[in-house]
Amino acid sequence: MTAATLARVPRRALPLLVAVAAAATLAATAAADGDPASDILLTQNYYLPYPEPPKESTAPLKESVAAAFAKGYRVKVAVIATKTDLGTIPELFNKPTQYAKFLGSEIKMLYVGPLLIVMPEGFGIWDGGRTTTAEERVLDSLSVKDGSPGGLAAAADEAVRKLTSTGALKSKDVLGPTLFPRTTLVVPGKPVKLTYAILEDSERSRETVTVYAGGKVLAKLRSPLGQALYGKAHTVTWKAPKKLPRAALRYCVRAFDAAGNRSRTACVPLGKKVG
Amino acid sequence: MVRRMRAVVTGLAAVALAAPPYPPTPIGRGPRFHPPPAPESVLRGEPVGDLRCAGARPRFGVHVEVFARGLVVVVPSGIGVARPFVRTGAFVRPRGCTYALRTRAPTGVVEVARSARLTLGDLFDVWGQPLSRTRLAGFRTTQARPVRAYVAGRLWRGELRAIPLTRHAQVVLELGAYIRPHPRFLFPRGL
Repeated sequence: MTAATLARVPRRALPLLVAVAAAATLAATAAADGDPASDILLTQNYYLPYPEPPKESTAPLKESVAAAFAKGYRVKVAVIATKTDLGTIPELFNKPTQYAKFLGSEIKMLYVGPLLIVMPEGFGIWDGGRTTTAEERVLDSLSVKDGSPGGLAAAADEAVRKLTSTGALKSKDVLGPTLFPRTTLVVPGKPVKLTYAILEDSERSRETVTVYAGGKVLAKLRSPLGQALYGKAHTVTWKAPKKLPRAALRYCVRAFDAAGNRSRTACVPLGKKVG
Repeated sequence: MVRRMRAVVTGLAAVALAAPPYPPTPIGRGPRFHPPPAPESVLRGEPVGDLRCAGARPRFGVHVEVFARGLVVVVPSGIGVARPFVRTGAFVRPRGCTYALRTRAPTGVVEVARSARLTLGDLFDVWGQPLSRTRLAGFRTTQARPVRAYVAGRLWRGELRAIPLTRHAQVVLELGAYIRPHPRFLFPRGL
């Protein structure tokens, strides 16, 4: 907009224009982390309000989420009971659809799949910008009757059960696993436990571990497709040769999820125990 | 022209109202964005400077956010927690001693012992991650574009490691792209 154009703007419209421009600038520059659910949902599939509701009201939700994964679906659920559950963005309280999109954008580098939000106001669903018509149809038939933490957990449980039973959670897995290998010491002639953690939204992966001495491959170990939970470290055992090569040792891990998505290769050095 | 301007103003207003108040910042992918919670010495409960691993004590909350290259670096659960502990999903439940600074969830909420006078430097020491003008956890920068800190939304002009961890402090650390810092955080009751 040029100065000449601005000069022709009716005087009454100017304050509004300025306000809108300020709001747009603020929205463009402001940013956020600080909502607890985004961090929690990276490594588990449900976020429960703080303080956590009694076990009897949360256990069914945990079971229904686990059942969805057992059937090959993926879903993450955030139960938001109060503004405190939103940390630095309390203004999104009772805006489940907006928060679903917001949260989905925060975790999009590690999870793209159905993301269900339950607030006293109702449900929100987001799937990385892909269509959610099937999920919405199911959620439209449900309502949140009880806005207490336990009531919200029960509503979330009912929603996940219905979404699973109707097949509405069908969603293409497009992200590969992320790997966190740990360094360790190699003792000549002894078995070495090569340990790594896997962050994979489908919770299933297979891995290839390659041990190198400089550029030379010393061993290649493969693990079959199995459960991959971030909290449970994976270990493969490599028997080190009696005489270790002079070149620096390292091992690299590559993982593949059930949908065929690959991780980046992650490598760490291996120490040599002398004497 | 007036009609066109009205349409523009209405359109902009609609966009501004529909957009969330704060655009989200994605959490980074890869080990540097998910640093481990504790070095081996902390897991063994060894002293870190003047800080000792001890039993239960009353605590208050401090919220710390870390951003590098425009993405979130996760402040993990288990900072300041020695073995033994139980990991349940994203949470860590201590079964032994803990330090005057600890995290039990990966939400950036640091639980600080009420009797202690601690700083951000203490937190990074217990975490086992570097913090200086040119280093922030696994990331490096230059003196020309140093690490920035914001306390309650305001730029901190002093030494980064000296930032006091007072009750309900909201601390944001940034390396690289500017991310508008939040001035406050809603702490759960009891912290």
